[in-house]
Amino acid sequence: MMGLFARPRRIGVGVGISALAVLLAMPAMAQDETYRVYVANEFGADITVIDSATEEVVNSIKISDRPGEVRPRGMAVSPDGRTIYVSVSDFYPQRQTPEDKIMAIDVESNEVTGEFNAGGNPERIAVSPDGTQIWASLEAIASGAGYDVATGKQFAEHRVGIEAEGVAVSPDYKWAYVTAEATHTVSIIDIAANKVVKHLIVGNRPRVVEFSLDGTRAYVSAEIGGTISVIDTEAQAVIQTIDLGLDSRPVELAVAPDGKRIYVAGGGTSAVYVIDTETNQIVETIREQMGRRPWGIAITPDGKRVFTANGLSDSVSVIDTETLKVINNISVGRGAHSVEIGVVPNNE
Amino acid sequence: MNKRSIILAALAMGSVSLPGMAFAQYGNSPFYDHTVELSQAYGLEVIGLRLDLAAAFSPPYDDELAETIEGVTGAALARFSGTLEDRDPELATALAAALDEVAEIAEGESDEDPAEAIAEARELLEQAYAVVIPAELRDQAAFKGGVIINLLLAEGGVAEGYEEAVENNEPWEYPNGWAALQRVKALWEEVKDSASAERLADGQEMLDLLDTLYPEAQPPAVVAGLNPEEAESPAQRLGGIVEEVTDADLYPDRDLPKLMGHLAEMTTAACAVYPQNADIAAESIYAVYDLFATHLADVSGMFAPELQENASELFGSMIVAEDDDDDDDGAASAEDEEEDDDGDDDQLSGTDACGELAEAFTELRAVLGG
Repeated sequence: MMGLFARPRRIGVGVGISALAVLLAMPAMAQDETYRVYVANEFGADITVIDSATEEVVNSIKISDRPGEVRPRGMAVSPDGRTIYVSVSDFYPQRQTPEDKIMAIDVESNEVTGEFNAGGNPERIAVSPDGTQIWASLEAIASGAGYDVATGKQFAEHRVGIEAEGVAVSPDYKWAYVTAEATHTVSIIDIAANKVVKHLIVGNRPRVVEFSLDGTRAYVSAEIGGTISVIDTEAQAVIQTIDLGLDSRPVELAVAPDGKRIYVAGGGTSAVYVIDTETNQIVETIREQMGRRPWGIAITPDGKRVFTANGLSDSVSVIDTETLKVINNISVGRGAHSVEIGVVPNNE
Repeated sequence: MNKRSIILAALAMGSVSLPGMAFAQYGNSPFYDHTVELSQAYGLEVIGLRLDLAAAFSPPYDDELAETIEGVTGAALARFSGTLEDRDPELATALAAALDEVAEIAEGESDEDPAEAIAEARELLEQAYAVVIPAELRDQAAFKGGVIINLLLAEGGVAEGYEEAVENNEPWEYPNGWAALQRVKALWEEVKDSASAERLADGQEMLDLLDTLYPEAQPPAVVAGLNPEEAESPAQRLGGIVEEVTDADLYPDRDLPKLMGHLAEMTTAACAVYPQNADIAAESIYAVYDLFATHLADVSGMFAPELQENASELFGSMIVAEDDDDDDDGAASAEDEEEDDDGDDDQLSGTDACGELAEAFTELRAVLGG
């Protein structure tokens, strides 16, 4: 599949560096960096940018001139934090259209630097640990697909469950996991072998999947089930199901940088559930001052702040991870869907 | 590939490592406790909605709308007609005749006054509701919750009516969703008293959102370009609120193996009834079909496609699905199927199809981890 680039500059410029270089750079970056919070506004067809330090909106990036027809949804960040990727589609999940694409935003300039076609109504995306590849869930065609960041070419496409939704790649980049709402499944793709090796039934209407930092566990939110399924990635089996309550309606989840906690956005209860990954128990439920129907959630690389995208109140709630309290609510665009954190080095 | 190897192949794909668990939170499970009654109520409600549409518009009806109204004599009626016939044959006959009259008016083949015919059918339908669904059950909040969730999310309901109108550019699906929403609002009024202030406000907000999508019965002049899923989000959220307000688990597929096992048991019980009363047995099959098609067919097709296909085909030997109304004036009477069987060796009898379906469900239960 040919990439359809809006600009001469390719989407992968500045991103396709080696995984080793990224890993070596990460500790130093944490010393002197600031963060920008990107919020995909599904109905506004734009991305709100918030400075995490001042907690003020600093930019709004237009994704389309046709809000209500074209929508940004899932996002992912490159390993170095410098590029935000956005999955864009129309509102017809059962068909492929020219609107189906993945766009790249440069965090420093807040400019869209490239895009490529990703036919099949891409809903969510994940970036490989070395930043050179993107995996997308393609809702319309029940598939998980891999794309080369530098060229935009699709290098893999696999049939998964119906209404593909969430996608994640393992830290060792051996596996891509894709959830599917209608079949209540997670499909496990062996990336090197280029095939689906297993389907697992998880909770009802699975949404988002995330790996633990060491890759030994994968966590899957189930919106109707009100659960988080814990998958042992070596055994490729669900080993535990964490009950959040049937009314919780969990969607996105974020693993803390130290791996000790998971933060889950509970859209049904307008709450954030904090789970201890050692015990898989809920240690706190944050409700007070939360915006309404949080779907998106992300944590800063320093682990100090959690941001939620609240679809019914068109806002972002800011949570202090030390006190586990909401410390601010920030107005964003219409239909806040997902949130992601970009990194801006201060010395640049 | 034989059935055993199908199951083994499915197991090899890892379907049963440890399936999604469901946690009890609400005190009632109407889709398990009153499976057939909820299907019967759905049939009664669907006929009521079609009468509402017949009243909201005037003949001559648009062809698409006329076809919808004619459905009052179809599968919706078959969901409860066997029980009604058993309990009150005179009422069953009168209702069938009244609905036939409405259908003929919709077809343009009757000169009767539409308002009178609709009013008579509505009156008889209400009597039938009372006969088929005992008052103590109909008045239960949890049962009403089950009716509401069907009206919100089932085919032709609030969410689907809007989606089909927009996505498939079928404007006359829109009034179906509008009619379902009016009924949801009426039922919400009956259950909302037990809601907390917060949930009351949430519920009303969702209804208001849906009202903006369905301001009137008339389809919008242009449906293309709208968001087909716009009604789904508030409908789903309202469903969650109704669960809490009615203290009822309204998503029976939270535990897939349990649901498959339940359907296997329901089917087995229906098979025992077939020889005595095929129409009443078919009512159970309608209920089973709803739950299978809505909640289990997709996942079954993923892990055991041959079993899923076989099960889906077996339904065709017993009932006519709502989607097949176009091809048939009414649901296939199970007795008709028995008669057909005499002259057609390829057509399974209802009894035989039922037995095979029960067996298929038992195998699918194992595939899904039950």
